Amino acid sequence: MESYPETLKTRLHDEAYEYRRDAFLAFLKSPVRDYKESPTVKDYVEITDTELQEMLYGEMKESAEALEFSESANIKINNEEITVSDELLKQGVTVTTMVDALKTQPELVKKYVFPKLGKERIEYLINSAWRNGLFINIPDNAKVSVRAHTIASASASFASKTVIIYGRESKVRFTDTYSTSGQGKGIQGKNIYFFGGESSRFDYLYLQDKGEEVRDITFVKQHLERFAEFQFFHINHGSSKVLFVDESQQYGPGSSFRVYGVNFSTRDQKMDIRDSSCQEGEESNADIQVRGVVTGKSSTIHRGNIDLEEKAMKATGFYDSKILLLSKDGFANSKPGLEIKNANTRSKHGSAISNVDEEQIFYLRSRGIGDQVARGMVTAGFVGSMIEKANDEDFTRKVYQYAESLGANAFLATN
Amino acid sequence: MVPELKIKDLKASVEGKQILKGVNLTVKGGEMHALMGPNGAGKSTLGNVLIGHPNYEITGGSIVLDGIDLTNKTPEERARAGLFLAFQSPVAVVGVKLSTFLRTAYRQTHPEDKVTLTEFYDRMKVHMKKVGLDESFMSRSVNDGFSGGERKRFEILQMVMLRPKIIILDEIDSGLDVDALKLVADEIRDYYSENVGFLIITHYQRILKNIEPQFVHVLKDGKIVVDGDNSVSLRIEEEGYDWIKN
Amino acid sequence: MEVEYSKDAEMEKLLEDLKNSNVKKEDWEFHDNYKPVYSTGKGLNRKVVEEISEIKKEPDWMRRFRLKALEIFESKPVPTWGPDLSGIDWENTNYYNRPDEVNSTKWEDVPDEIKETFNKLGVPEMEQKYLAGSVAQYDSEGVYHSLKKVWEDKGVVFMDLDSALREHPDLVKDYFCKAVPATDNKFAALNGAVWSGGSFLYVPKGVQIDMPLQTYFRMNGEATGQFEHTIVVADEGSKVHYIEGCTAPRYDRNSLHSAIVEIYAKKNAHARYTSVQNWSKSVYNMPTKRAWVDENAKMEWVGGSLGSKVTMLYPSSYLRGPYATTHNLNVSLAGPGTVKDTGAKALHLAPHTSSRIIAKSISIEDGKAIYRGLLRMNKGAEHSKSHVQCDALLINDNSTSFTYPHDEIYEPTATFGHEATVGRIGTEELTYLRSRGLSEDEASSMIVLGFLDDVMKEIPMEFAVEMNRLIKLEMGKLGAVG
Repeated sequence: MESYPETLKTRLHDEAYEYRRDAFLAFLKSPVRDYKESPTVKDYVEITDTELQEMLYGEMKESAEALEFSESANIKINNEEITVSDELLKQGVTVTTMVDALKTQPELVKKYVFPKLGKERIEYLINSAWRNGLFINIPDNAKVSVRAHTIASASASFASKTVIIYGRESKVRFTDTYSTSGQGKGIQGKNIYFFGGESSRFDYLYLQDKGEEVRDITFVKQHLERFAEFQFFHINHGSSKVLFVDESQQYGPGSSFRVYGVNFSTRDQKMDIRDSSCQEGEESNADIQVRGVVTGKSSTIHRGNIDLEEKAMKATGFYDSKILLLSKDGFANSKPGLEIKNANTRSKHGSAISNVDEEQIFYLRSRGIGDQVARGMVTAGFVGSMIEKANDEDFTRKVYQYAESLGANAFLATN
Repeated sequence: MVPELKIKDLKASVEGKQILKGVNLTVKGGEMHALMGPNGAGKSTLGNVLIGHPNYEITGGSIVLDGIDLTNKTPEERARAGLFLAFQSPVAVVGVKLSTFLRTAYRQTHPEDKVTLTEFYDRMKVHMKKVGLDESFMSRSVNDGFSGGERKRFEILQMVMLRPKIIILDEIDSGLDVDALKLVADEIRDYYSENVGFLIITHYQRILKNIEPQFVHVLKDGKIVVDGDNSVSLRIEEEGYDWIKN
Repeated sequence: MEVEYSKDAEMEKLLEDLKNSNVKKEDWEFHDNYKPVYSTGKGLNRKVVEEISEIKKEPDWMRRFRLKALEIFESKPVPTWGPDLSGIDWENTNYYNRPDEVNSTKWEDVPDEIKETFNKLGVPEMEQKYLAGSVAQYDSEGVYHSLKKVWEDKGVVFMDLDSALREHPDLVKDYFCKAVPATDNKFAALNGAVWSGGSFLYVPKGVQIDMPLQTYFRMNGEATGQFEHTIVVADEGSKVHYIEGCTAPRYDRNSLHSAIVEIYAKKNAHARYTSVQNWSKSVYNMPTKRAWVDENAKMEWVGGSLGSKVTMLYPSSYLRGPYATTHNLNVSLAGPGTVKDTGAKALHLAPHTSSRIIAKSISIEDGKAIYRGLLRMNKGAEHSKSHVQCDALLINDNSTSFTYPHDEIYEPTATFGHEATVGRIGTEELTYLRSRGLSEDEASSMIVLGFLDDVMKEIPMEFAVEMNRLIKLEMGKLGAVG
């Protein structure tokens, strides 16, 4: 890390220099872990400082392979290169890279990007060291559907930053897919920040399906103005190690935050999936539901805090985690939290970890469905019921496909 | 071929406790049997043992359907052989849709039928109407949030869709109001033919007024103690079970 | 440009710190703010520990154990992951306070002043009516113990731990600090070094005691530490219910209570441990309580945590044998200015084990209630089941509640569920009760007691009455509630 200030001054010396430097300072000042837990508890997905350095100094790389973008994508991102469909631009949507935005959108950058350094150690570091990313600005009252597909080289290590600003009363449906090309053990960090205008409505469908050895670190932040509604569907499937942190910043009264998350961990994958709300707005609400499926020697941890601040009168916050632990060598862990600083609120959390219900399996079998198929169906139903709410054929199909492809080994009969 | 289910000296236990102590019963196509008995006699156990519930251990005897020994077979093998149990309280399977479930089950029980998806769903809709389930149930999760009556209607829907040969109905009338009971009874009578046999497990005589069985058996303390005709059920309605000696 | 310069300089300094911290990661993780205690006067050092051992005329193994524990205590930092413990005055605490008279089995021999205190608390009366035996401890030493003859004849041992160490040294040695080793945490190590008093209860095989046994703890000195060590052994097939009650008067200077409770429920045994603490609001209450639960044994923890300034308490059950079960019921009342960091731990180490945890907390005014728990199912704990439920009630606008459960499941045949809710007294409920003629206060306390009902009904009558009274008192002070 010692030479990073030098890198900042030279290679990353752009319009965001001060922001980058402040973020790095914040990184240095923040403890390795903020203790909401006993120090004897291990970190299940540990990102070491060595790994962070790889990310810090790494570059985006041109892929050697021909890239297979999803056909329906109207924004295609290949490393630093972006292709945007005309149809999207015609609707008044601005799409540029972050690097370009520093020059072409200085006012917006100053207003939205610079004030937000982040909250957590690694998030700070990404805010300091990002090489590029997307900058999207959607005007007031717009109704748009964005389908972005980002393909990075699996061997590349880098940090990126994406900022999505959408105006008041806009209605946006955004499908965001991340995959990799080739083989490699890149460590890839990204911060995705949303800024939702008053009474806006955003449906965000996120899919991470990177190569088996890639390490993925993601921070998602939704800054929600009054009556802004955000609905978030996320799927984590790929990568060897996933740290996925999502936290709403609901300073708007009446803002609404709904999360339906699904993750699959298999082989020796480690996934730390955190979905939290931070609610300041009066009568704001958050409802978070996450589902995990654990097979092989993998581990999944679900964490999530419902944080109701002093100002959040009449706010409600709910968190619900369920994990199916299907294999002998797998590991499931849940750590929900409630931080309630206002008595005039309602909140609740629940978590459950178990194998599939044998009574359900028996019921399906009594109708002629084989044991393995029955287990596949129950598992697919368990996760599918979350993502189906997004009404996206592609996503629904993917989830069922992931669940059903867990294969015979995933389902160790327990009787 | 007229199907035939032969239960011979069947003994079974749950958690080490003997429940069935030697049950003998034969159900053939074209026959309607009723199995009655006081609470705790082992009626539901018999249904569960016949379909192969993993919690019940068969400790003796045999279950043979059309010459195939099912005693040690898995539940799906029994179902594929043509056995069907309408459960007393069917379990909810969250996330698994009715349509997917029935379609998968049908493909497994009738691999020879190359029916298309649309045809299958059309067929399903016709029967849903008959049993009184709204079409919107197709995209709902199996039994999830269903009322007691809806669960029973769905069991009957599965029966007519999967076309089994020997059908065991376990307390199919519980949780049904008079109108629903009539719908279900109609559907059972419609499905009834020379090629299917029924075993209706019930505590009360109520359903038997709608479906008249030719044979009535009384199970008491793990054994069939009375074999007779419908007059047995009428006597039970009037006098209860006290007159039956072990 | 000066701002620039200072930021760069700060960065450099922090980088240097980071470099150093990577070498000694432990220190970095703990944010150590521990200061060693003074080696003279009040406070703690080798000499103090040796002196305690000397006064007690202990066997040599115990003396060596104490010294080893002191080393461990000194090497461990003060935990910073929970409530603020900076108010503990390590240097000015009296680690050993001995009352004048020695321990007695006759109530008449107890010094008058102490007798009066216990009389006020209703101890002798309770013993007569409800108990199979009792021990009373005043500051660091037990002052009285008794056991009904019928149980003594059956081989039951019940006395303070110091007496037990003299009279049954081998029995004590078999169990002392086995479930809670001194290395467990800083406060357990402290207890290991300076422990004094506490109860020793041994119930032989097959003996089922139908009346509870009780110890009463009273901490009287200012800036005193009370470090009792209690061991309950329920041998195979036995049954026992042990109760503890704790009080202290209020002083301006903080006192420290750091106890160890070890419970051994052997095969087929049934042990129940009930404790109700009502320490004054100057006490840091940091006990370590743990049970080893063997095959088919049942362990029940019932707790009421009313007083103290800060409490950190997580009674643990290690389910070591097949079919072992544990129940953990706890009520915490976080009154104005206090912090209750309480919870439970259950570790499933064998097949078919089960655990059920119910925790209820009430925060009044700026009281802060925290639930912190650990539930672990090890690989091989097949078909084990667990359910955790924690509910928090916030009484005032500035009341707060935090819930931090931690669940680790390594076994695919296990079933685990956790639920937590936070809420306040519903206006609807309140209005309904008031419409039937209840005052607002009455209605509120009725709702609060209803909220606590699951746990209250498990608490012995005399304590439940006391808890009801305290809760009503705290609620009453607030005037209009809601």
